[in-house]
Amino acid sequence: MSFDAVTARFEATVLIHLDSAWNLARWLVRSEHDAQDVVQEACVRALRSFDGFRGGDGRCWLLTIVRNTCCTWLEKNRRHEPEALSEETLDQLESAGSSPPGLLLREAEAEQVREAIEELPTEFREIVVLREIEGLSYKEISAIAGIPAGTVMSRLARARKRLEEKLSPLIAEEA
Amino acid sequence: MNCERNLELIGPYVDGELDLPAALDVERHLENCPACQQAHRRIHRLKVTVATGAPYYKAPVGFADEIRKHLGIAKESGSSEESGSSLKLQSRREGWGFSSRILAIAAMLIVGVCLAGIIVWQNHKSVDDAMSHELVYAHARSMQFDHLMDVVSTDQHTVKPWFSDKLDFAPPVRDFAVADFPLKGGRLDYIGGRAVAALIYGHKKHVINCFVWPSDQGDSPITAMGLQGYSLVQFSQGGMSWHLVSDASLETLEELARELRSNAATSSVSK
Repeated sequence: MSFDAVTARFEATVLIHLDSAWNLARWLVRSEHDAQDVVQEACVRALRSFDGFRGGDGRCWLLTIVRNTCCTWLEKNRRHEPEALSEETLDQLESAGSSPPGLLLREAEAEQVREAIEELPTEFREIVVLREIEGLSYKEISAIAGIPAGTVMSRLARARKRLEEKLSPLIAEEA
Repeated sequence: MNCERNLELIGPYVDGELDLPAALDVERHLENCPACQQAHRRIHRLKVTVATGAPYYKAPVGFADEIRKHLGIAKESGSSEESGSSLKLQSRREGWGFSSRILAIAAMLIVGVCLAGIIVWQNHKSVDDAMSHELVYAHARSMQFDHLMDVVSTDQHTVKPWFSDKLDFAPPVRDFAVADFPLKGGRLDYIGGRAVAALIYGHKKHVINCFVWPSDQGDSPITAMGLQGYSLVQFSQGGMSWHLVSDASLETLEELARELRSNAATSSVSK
């Protein structure tokens, strides 16, 4: 009964945010397979420290643990970081970008956006993902990443600058 | 305020992170500064581009069950098939110590249920509050320096395909000129972490922004509230969430909401 109660509360406050956890992990470790390991490990940690959870936003609490688990994983697996894009791929992307409008173009655009974010350094990427994809406030991001809100703001600004440069053809003004 | 300081604040401004006085300062500066206006438009476009282009990775189907199994909290009789790691976890749980477990359980039983209720309610409340402020900001922002419309057309057959080209959903678009709510055009906007459609209607001298996005919550009645001198009227219908913002009266917005709602109801039936 009591174990069921813990389980039920864990389900209702933490496990319902599994998609958010997966999204963050998938963006940070950049692979489906590794995201699986990391989220699993994060959930084990979450359940283990669940009696220390004093209520509040279950999503932020879980994302904090996921983020820390990702950082540990990245430290350990630095060598497995995917290589930067080759010139060839970049050329392909550019030529795709100049093809006539249609589904292909939109897919190519989405791919460009995805790659631009993936190429950001981790400390920028996590802020962009939490803000622009997860839709969290600066305050929530500051709690998850363990940095002051001012740092969230400045990192976001720098990340946006890089994204603007990489995606300038997509966001150019239609004159 | 100088440009350098203003440029720093444009991001937080677009994110809806500034308080009203600071936001107004930014707007006053933007009105007279083409360079900052350009920076503002670029950030706005970048946000929409990222929101429409970047994937939201959802956990694979069945992953939640895998996790439950791994944690030893599977709902069905999964306990007989526990994997090695979940057994490890079980033994760690015993390792917490009897007293702390009793304490945790007792504390939880006493405050858990009501606290959870309050927390869920407060979270909903604060999420709703943040959303309302974001909607009002988005409306106020759209009223600045020609930012109102991306596609200018009173023709619903022009506006609708324009949206379906740019978004992963197609909002029902209809002109209500006969009811004194002429369609003016459309715009892409960015609310709650996603790209949304903004339909622009006129009514006498007022401009009404209708923000629309898909929602998996069922149909909900029309609700109205005032916020920072603006009217905000919301409802859900046919899988879409509608949010009307304007400086027009609440009654006016409710009137348009009823038109939109009955149109959405008939168009979702006909699909």
